[in-house]
Amino acid sequence: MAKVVDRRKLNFWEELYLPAIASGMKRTFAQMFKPAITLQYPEQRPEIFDDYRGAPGLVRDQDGREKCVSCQLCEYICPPRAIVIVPGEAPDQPDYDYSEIEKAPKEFYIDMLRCIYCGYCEEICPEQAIFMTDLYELNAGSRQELVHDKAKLYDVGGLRVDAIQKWKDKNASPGSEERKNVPPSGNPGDGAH
Amino acid sequence: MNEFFAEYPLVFTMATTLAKIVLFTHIGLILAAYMPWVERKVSAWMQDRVGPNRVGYAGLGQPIADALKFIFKEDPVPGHVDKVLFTLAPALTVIPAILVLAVVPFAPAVSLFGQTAQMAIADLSVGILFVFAFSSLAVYGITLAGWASNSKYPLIGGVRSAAQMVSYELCLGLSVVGVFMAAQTLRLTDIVELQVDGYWNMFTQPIGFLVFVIAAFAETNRLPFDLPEAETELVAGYHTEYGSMKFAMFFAGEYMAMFVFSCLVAVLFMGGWDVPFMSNESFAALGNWGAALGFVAFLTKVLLFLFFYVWVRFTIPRFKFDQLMHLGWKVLIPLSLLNILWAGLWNMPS
Amino acid sequence: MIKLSIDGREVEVEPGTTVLEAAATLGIDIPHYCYHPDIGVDGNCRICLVEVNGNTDKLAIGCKFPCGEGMEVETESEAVVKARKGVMEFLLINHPLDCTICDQAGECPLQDYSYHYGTGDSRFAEKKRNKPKHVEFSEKVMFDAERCILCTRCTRFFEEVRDCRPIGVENMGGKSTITTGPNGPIQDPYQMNIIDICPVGALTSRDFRFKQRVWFMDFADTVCPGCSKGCNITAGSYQGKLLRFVPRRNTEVNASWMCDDGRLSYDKYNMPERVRGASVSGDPASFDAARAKITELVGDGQGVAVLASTSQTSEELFAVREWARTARVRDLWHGERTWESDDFLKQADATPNTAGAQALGYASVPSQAPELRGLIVVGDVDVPPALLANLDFLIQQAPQAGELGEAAVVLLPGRNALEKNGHWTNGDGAVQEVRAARDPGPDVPEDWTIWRDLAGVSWTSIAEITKAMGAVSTADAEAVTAS
Repeated sequence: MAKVVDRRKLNFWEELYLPAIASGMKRTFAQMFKPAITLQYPEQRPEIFDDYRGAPGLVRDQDGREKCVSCQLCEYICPPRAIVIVPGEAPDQPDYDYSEIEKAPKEFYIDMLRCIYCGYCEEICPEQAIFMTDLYELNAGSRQELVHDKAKLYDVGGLRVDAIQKWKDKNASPGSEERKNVPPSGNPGDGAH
Repeated sequence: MNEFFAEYPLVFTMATTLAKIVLFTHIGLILAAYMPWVERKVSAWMQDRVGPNRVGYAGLGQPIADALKFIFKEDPVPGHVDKVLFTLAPALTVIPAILVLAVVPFAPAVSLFGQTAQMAIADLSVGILFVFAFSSLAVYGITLAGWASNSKYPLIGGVRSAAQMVSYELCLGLSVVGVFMAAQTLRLTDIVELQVDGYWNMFTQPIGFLVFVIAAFAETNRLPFDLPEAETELVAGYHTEYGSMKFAMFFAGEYMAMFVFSCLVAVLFMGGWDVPFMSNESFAALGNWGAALGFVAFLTKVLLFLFFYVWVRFTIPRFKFDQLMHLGWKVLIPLSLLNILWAGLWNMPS
Repeated sequence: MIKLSIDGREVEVEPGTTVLEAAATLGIDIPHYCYHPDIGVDGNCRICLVEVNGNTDKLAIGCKFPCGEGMEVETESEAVVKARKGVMEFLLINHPLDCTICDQAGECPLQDYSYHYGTGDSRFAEKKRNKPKHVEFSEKVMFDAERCILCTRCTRFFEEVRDCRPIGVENMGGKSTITTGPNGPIQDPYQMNIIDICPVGALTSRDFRFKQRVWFMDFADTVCPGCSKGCNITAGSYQGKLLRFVPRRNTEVNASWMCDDGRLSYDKYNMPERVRGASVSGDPASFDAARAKITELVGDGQGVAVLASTSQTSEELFAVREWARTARVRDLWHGERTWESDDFLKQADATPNTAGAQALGYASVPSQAPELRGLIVVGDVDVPPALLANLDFLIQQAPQAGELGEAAVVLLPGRNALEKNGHWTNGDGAVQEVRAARDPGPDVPEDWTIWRDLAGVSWTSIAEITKAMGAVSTADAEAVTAS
């Protein structure tokens, strides 16, 4: 069943449309003398908010250490599957403050053509190693250039100073000296036998 | 010199005609080239934007940059088109528009070397008929473009254009009948001179003026009557398949047509080169300065009407096709007939 | 038989059954760390607490508490839930926040139970205990003392299953830790089983270390192709690349164990270089052309023999036999390959389906090989050099051509042991299903389709062959070889 919509009967002047047109013309003409509200983009920059979600980048901490431990949760959560991580073993440095972190990404790729800037990677990262930066200008001469590799991602992310330093605080604990004295394996004091 | 031209007036006529052709067509072409800039600027102001401002001062280099881009772009011809008509169509939209300029009087007559030169390229006694004859040809360009493109959107655009042109050609013609009834001549120069001494036709025949202006919008495919290229429905209508310079010719054709119709509105209804409160005698008294003044007045009117074109475009939305037909056949034709009656009564010998 | 009720459900069990086992028969999962069905009860982790006969003062550990007549057991009562939460909190007090770098993450009972039974929060504000991390127990096993919850499954595995003590618990109380003995790194050839039974990430495989997160991997339940024991395994792969084998519990065959040699053999099945598409006389050819060439070469089948690998599934061997019957090829032989056996799982026969091949009528290559015109080699098989002398033609269908490939007139692709579907019969006569763990990629059809097309049979799936195989009796098989 077609539905009949009751419409108001127009009076003579309204049916002429000319007054309505004239008022519209007046409106547009008046608008010409109002100032422009647009931004002159390359010279003027938009204000970037703190929670702006630009290109994701990896960050280093205050010691210049790469924070990512390649747990691959971002790769898991990424809706468009833009992230690909090749996990690897971090070099063993016994006296190093962060020697407990055994894992580091060997390769880290984010395909910026796939990225939808949802920010899930930042949200899920347990190490606070990946952040949505304020970088919004991405351009390249080829598709391959827009697949950001590890170097590019650290370039984008830069340095970040954190209040909580999970791994460092842990190593600075009272037990750490004792631990360093324990030989790695084959301890003769074998109490269990 | 004076003796030479007095002895050989044909040489004078040829020389001045040549000069007029060069001068007037270039005025038309340059205006057509800069109209897109005007259009973009005005639309930007109306929409609280800035508009083109990168190429040259205030973006004035933009039309040149656009033209260069059009020239250097690849000229694609899709494989499924009728090649001859496809190439011919853009030319058919530009050429009639330029030809109509031939009869438009730009200024009062100028005297040079003891000779008098009319400031229309060809001051034909059947000026208005010439105008209608050639401006009607423009529909062929659009319809042929739609046909030759051999794909659905251009074809729909072409068909719409044909229907629209036929409908509005009629009321365009009828609305002018009142004008030459009042002038009792078809010569455009005479029509202007009559208005200079008397009243502008837009005041004596307001209905005819209104109908002519509306029909002029329809004839040039301008909003609110741009159904042949309605981008929201037809991609780009009749020029969907066109690119590069061929597309630019459609573009130029549209703006040339706008310019021509602005000239016609000025000539037929707004007193041509007339400046209010001046008569033909006062123009003649000023001599060639009077001609220059008339020329400036004429151009001012044309430019104002061109601005009006743009202004309307960014104010009134597009009609639906049934509304377009309704307006053309059921409203404007009766109105223009009414105008003829009005003109007859107005000019009745008392 | 003893009758008791668990969570209000009646169950009847043999005397001596523990509450945990009785609950398992009802499908009730009582959480447990130190208990493992194949290494027995220890009772140190205390997570399996249950309430018996309403006694909330002293909860019993389900893994050790024997069932009694008329007992009423509660596994989800208020007291049990609270006690479990407490145990979970204790276990997690010193467990590091290592999940981000721990290979166990994703298949970790500590994570699972913490999620299901834990508080989700810690009240422990003090410093966690520091212990040695990444300790190399051997070239195969890595140990992390901080992650260890001292369930001693690993030490008990060696004591009870392998009868040796390469590792043990040293120190007391909070300083307790697992360590290798005075003989240095673990030597045992079954040592990697402690990685699987470790309920946390304390023991991890150095081979699989940081290769890939388990939640990205694809798993296929199949059978180890290493020897005729046929240990049940779960093959893990990532994007078509095999990354590890892990034993799958089957009390009839391998319990929960497998040998390290079998476990580490996964990489050779990745086969980056292999036969793709058919070729005739060394030039790529269509399968139709290859089939036509084979039919032409074999002719009436006189003086032609088939030598098939015992890594082929019974279905594939049956398909070959079907073709041999139509082509009147009489001699069906199977290849042989051996390695060093041991006293636990490893068998001398280093192929998985010798018993299956023999049941289908394939015989060992006779010591006095008859005069051969042509030989058809099927699958990955060692060909005795004597057979290759005086051959007119050699046809090979195998995943990798090897040295024979150059001599083969017709070369057809094949799938390796981890890419097959079908059945293998192990040395003890157990018929076990094999499932493909990876896809070899383009131009490597399943082996049976090649022989089906040659034989002109209309099977459409492996299941159909399995059915057909059951219908054809072994007597027929003997008739084929005897005729």
